[in-house]
Amino acid sequence: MAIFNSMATEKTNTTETTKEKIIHLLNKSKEYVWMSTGLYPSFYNDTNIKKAMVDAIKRVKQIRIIIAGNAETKKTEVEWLFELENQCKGKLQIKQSERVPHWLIVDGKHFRLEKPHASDGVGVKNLFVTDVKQPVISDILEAKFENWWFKAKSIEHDE
Amino acid sequence: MKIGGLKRNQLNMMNETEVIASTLVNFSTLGFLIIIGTAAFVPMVYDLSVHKKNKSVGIARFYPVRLISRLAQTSSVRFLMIISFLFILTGLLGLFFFYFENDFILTCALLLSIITISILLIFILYISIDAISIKKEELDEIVEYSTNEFYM
Repeated sequence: MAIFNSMATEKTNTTETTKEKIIHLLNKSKEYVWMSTGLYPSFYNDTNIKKAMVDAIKRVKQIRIIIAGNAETKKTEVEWLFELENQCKGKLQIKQSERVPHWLIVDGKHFRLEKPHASDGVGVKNLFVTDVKQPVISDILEAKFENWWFKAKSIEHDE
Repeated sequence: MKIGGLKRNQLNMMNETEVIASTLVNFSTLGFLIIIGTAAFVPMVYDLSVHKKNKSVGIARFYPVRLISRLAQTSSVRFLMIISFLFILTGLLGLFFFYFENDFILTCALLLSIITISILLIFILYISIDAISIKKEELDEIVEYSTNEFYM
């Protein structure tokens, strides 16, 4: 019951704890996953992250990923994700954008929000929010992501 | 002089049950209009305000905003639609009473209106209490982490 339960927030300050929490959020997904990321190769090629994402893709109805920066280089660096996009056409959508914060939105209820950091590294200052009960919080965060999504450009695929 | 099949003195001398039926019809029409209006306009206005550029999560600090956001949820809109349907049903039963002149129909209309109002009251209480729950520190953290002028 929602009454008197607010939500849970947790900060992470290391790559390992961030990885653990991202996997935890991905495993919670049932409906959709929206993600904006720098797609840092050493982070996203990790076996556990890869498994959590592949499992999430199988489970949910929609995954949207906005890659911050140049997505062309990521095609070779995180190859498995683009192969998966080809296999799950429509379900997994990837776009690129100049500069967007690195967020993870799961089912409009669980969030990962990251503080800005240099584009050539992994951000360690993250806030994980789970079970958001107040719709206004989810709605505003989702509206921000949707705004970035519609402004983001599609990625051309090599034939 | 006859007006719509009734003599003028018949119109002037409505008995007690007819007054109740008439009040019920007016009351349910008003209820229907208010509830359907709320269900139609609140989500639209809320959606427009949420999608305004650079809207901060900080507005969740205000209780009326949290209350309106609850009211604008799909589940709440569906619920309000059901309530407005019950109001229509009450009004119809009230009108049927004038046609059939059967006290049982009026009793049904009265009971239905009591049930409808009670359900509405419980719903309002539920969303009002639910909108209270928020921890200021947690909200401040979300505001801090979701402010992204750096990127814009």
